[in-house]
Amino acid sequence: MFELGGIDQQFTSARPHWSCAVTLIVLAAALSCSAGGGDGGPFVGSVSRSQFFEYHSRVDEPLCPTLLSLLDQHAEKIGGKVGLRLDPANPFRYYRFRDAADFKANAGGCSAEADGCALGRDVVYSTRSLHAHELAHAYIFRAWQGGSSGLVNEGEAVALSCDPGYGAQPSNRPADVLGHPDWRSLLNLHGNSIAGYSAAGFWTTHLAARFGWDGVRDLHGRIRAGITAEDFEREFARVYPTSMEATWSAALDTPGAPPCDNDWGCTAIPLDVGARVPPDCDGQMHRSITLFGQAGVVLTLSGAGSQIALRSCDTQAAPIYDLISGGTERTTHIAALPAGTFTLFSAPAPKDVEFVSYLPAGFNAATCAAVPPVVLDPSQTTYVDLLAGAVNGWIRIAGGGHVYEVSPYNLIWQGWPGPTGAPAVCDGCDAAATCVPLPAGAATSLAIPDGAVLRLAGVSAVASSSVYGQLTFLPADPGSARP
Amino acid sequence: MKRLAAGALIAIATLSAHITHAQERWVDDEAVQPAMRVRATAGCGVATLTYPGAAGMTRGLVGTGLNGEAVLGLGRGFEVGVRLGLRTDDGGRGLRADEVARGLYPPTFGTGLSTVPNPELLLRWRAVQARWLEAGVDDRVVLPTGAEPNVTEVIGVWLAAHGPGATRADVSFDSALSWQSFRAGYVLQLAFALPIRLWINVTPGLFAGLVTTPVYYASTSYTTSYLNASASLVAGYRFGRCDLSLGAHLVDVVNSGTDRAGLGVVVSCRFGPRGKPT
Repeated sequence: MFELGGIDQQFTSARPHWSCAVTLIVLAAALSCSAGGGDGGPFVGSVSRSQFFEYHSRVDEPLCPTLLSLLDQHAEKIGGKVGLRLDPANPFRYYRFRDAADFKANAGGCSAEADGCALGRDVVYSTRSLHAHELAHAYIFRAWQGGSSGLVNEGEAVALSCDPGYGAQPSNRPADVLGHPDWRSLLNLHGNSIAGYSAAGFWTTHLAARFGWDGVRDLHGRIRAGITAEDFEREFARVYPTSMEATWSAALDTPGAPPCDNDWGCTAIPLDVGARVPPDCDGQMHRSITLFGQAGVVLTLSGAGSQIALRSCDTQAAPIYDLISGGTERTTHIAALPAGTFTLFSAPAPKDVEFVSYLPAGFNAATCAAVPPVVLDPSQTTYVDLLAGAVNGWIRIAGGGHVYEVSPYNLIWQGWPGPTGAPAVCDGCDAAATCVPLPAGAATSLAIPDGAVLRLAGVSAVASSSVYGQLTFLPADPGSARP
Repeated sequence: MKRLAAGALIAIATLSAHITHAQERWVDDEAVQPAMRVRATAGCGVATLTYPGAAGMTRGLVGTGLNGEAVLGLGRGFEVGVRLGLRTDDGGRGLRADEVARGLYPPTFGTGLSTVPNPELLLRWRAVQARWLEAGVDDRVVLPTGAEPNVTEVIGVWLAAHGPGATRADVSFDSALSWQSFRAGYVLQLAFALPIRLWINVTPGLFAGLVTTPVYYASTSYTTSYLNASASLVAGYRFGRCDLSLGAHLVDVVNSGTDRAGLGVVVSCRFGPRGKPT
């Protein structure tokens, strides 16, 4: 959310010219008022300084160790895209509030319901340690000398921050996911539509990718707050050799169109097998995994309610592989993946991510081969993630004899949803082995020995609804699930 | 806002007690200035936009602008004029607050969004004149500037019907051809407007009017077609040679309902010889 410097929550930027009649000055004063205080800051807090930031925090915890250097890197990398010239003598002032209540009570000049806002060209208020969206506003305001209309402002910030995130698969048309928004209804976008923010981000990302950020800067300069739709179209056509309608459509009607510029999130170092790492100080992982012919990875997430998305930074239109946390403190995903390099994005971030192992090439074999089993941890939720379009066979699993509630999700088979042809847990590979089918729509409780096999022949993931089909193994005893 | 408007009207009414003599009533004014008579007009406008914010809050934007016009009667039913404006803040640019400051007069086209709107020249000719009816033709040209290299030509036919001493109706039909400087080259944009202004003189000095102006912009290769309409309520008072009016405007009723609004104060004074009564 972007606020011009020193404004209140009802009206913005009223600076009547001196020559207006006295009556209208009185009138304008009645209509507008100045919150003031934007330059002075809402509090001092504990103050830290980096090259380009003065960081005020009143969160009762030590500053994340690499935060200040991350902020500087962010300003250089993201601000650099829009031509921001950083000046150590004129740092950005970042105020981190204790929590939402603190923000609501004390972040004068910002919408109380927001979790951050940029006040003019120098100041950012937020409850987050590094608020990429609001920082993008501040960079642009400083680099381009002021704000623009809501659609332009928010589109730029989303395009540069990927915040708010957009999690739909690239195979979908963005317009279908976002509800076919009309750009005219988003001209004054301001904290009132998440879908609108995403749409604006798609549009600006499209403009920047096709015509460059210089064009976005020119548009930003021509579009003023309060503009009508017909004026907007004309001003757009003065900057670009195409129409607003055409670019809006190209951005939102094209499957695989990028929602934002992911350069910041894609700044990542490889995650080694066996490593267990927390998110970086901005809440992102900044880690990547490369598969060189392996069948997938085993990743463990700590913290309930978190999510890791594995994305290709090289190919925006590539599928996104979402790994969610289960109901237990730790969740393991035995996730099939195609070859390639995947960067870990978090939304929201887990406490940490452990790269347990690669999956060997034959782990999901056409025959019940003697490949090493994947081990189920009885204290946590385990997902077996199966790729849509892949042929499934047999997966050896080691359950240690513990009891699990097992259920399929987004999987189909001949005879679905009944037990005939359904995935099954067998106690061996031979024809005489006992198999327990796992029909759709139900959790099947069973003890899984170490020599068990997951029979998936004839089972496939539904490609249209998700990248993954899954089998979920929940510990039967909730008490043992929470160490 | 209503209280402020009411207050302004009361102030005008109070001031009227000090007026020694009102000249002709507003509704009886000729639509073209007599030879060598000048009408100079200055206006100041505040335009507002309200829109939804987070969590159901309503947010708003205010912009201010100034407008200045002068017309000179040339005789034989001709007059020439010029119109200049100034948008005094960012909000005034986006909201075109100078047009709110324009108040009573016909819509304009092709003035861009810069701080200084493209200036406009006017040539008006009265072809028909009777006690109760005038009619004629307008030609206006909106000139290019460095920031806004667009040229707009407006041709209109107009009619002013007088109910002597009591009422007046001004109706015109304007067609505008605007050569818009787009990135891909100059593109011709066509627009039409049908301003309708109905006036009454409540007292010899106090007048009021309803103004509505539907405008249609045709589509181009780069812009879609639009229909919008403004609606205004204007009240004013004649102080000798000058008129002071206050207008409350809904700027784009069709697309924005009551979200776009404005208030304008306009002072208009006439200098030079009065024409012969008709």
